[in-house]
Amino acid sequence: MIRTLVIMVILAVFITGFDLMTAYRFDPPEGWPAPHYDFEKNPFSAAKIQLGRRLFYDPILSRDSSTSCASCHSPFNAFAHTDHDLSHGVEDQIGNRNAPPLFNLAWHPIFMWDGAINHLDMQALAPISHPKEMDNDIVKLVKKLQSGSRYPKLFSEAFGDSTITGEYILLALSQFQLTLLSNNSKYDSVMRAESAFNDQEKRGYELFKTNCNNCHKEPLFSTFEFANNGLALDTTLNDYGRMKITQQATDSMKFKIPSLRNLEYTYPYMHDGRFKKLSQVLNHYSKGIVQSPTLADELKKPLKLSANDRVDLIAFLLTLSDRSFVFNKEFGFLTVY
Amino acid sequence: MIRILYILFILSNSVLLFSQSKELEIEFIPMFNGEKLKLDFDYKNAESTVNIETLRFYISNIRLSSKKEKFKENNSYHLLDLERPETMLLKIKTTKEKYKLLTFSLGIDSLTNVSGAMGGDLDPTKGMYWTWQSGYINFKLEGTDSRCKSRQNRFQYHLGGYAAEFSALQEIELSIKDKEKIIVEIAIDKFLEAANPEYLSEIMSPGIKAVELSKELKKVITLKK
Repeated sequence: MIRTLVIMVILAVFITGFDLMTAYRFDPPEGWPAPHYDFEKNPFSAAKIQLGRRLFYDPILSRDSSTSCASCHSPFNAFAHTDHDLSHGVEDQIGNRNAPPLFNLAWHPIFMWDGAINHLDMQALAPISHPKEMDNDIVKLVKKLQSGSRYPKLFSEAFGDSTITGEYILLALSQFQLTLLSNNSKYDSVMRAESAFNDQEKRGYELFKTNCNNCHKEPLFSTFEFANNGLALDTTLNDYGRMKITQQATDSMKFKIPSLRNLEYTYPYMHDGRFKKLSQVLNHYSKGIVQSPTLADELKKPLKLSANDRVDLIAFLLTLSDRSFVFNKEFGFLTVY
Repeated sequence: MIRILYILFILSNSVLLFSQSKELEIEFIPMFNGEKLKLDFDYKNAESTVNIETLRFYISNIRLSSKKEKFKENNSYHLLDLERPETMLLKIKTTKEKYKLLTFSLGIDSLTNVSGAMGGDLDPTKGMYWTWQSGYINFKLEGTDSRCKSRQNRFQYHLGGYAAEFSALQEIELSIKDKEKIIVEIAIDKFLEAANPEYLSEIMSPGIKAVELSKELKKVITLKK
């Protein structure tokens, strides 16, 4: 009797352990730096990831159940918001910044254009609470989820506890977002020696390494530090970026350096979405830089890019598009029924 | 086999009970005009009428020491909320009954502030976490003061901030001399005078003012004589 029980317990532990290990281990791509996110504090499970995915796509998160995370972070735009320079929220309110794409988040040490958020887990609190975004409150959200018929069961499956907490909501949202790994662009296959750049892309890659790689560093295509890239202040927004958080003049006009991966899908560009096209971005770097004391050293002299260079550089930048990421069904819409 | 397990179970439990049976009580009593502070009560002073609506703060990293022994509470985070009086009394399971020195932090340390989502008293639903900028609010005091020039004479002091020069965390050390029950008083009236609500009615983010006011707060925390 006892022996059967012991065998059954061992078998159960083995099977569940095996299932979790194979299906939901976070595997950093080969040659990439170690991820910043501490997975030991929030161990992956299928139930948590799927719960996070449901929450991500569910407008229940907003005050009037109109706006979900995906409203501004659409999978088909690499989880950015194409065509909208500034983010949209409940009752068609317009926010102050462009919604950034979401992928490879495990490598980000800090979040938001100004680094206001210090941890992926805590990031979701900002849009949930912001009056121009979801205009909700985590306490009200917990009550709303708890009082419905679908979520308590899902939280119970994910956390072994049907009492919903703020912590569980945030951990589940993190888990889903951490699965958004994008490393299957043409660039990646060239790096894995599975394919090759054409001549134009090759020239573009050389130009990239000379002009862009300091800040948009491979393989993530960002250092995730803050820099002033010489944009003129938009006086309708008066957004000084990082300075608002650190209260240091030396951080004036500095914004978090975005990754260049998937940029084909994530227009418009910059923290306020002021550029609709890549050609405008390159124009800015070659003849639009505004000099100021906090300007990045790399940009003190404008980039020298001929018309041909620009075409080549854009050809390379388009090799960073990851179609399999954008159309990955595992990341798509999921409803709760 | 089962009998041996049963005996082992009983034994281990009694050992556990024996080693953890000591309990030290630390009670925090917010004071106003020399008495226990009452929420939603009009304190009529010569110059103003004051009403405290909310008082909520974190006590963390509780340590006790005597000449021979040092004790540090595990997972030591406590949210004290005057709205729920039971939270003002902390029962600390220690290895000894008597210590000479009590040390604790008022607020949440920087490492915890950057460690992601947590539960219990640290859950972001407790109303002690800023949403627009990461970080715990160490101390929250809200109410009205007839001297305040703000709308409806309201004041709101949310003190927090963990990063470098804006770290508002306060370390407090009290000599407790073998006491079995420790009563820590917080003179909210004195704190309010230091905050000077006539000129400053609102602190809602980390910064120099939050640090300065946190230092004033430390000064009004004393052991009951």
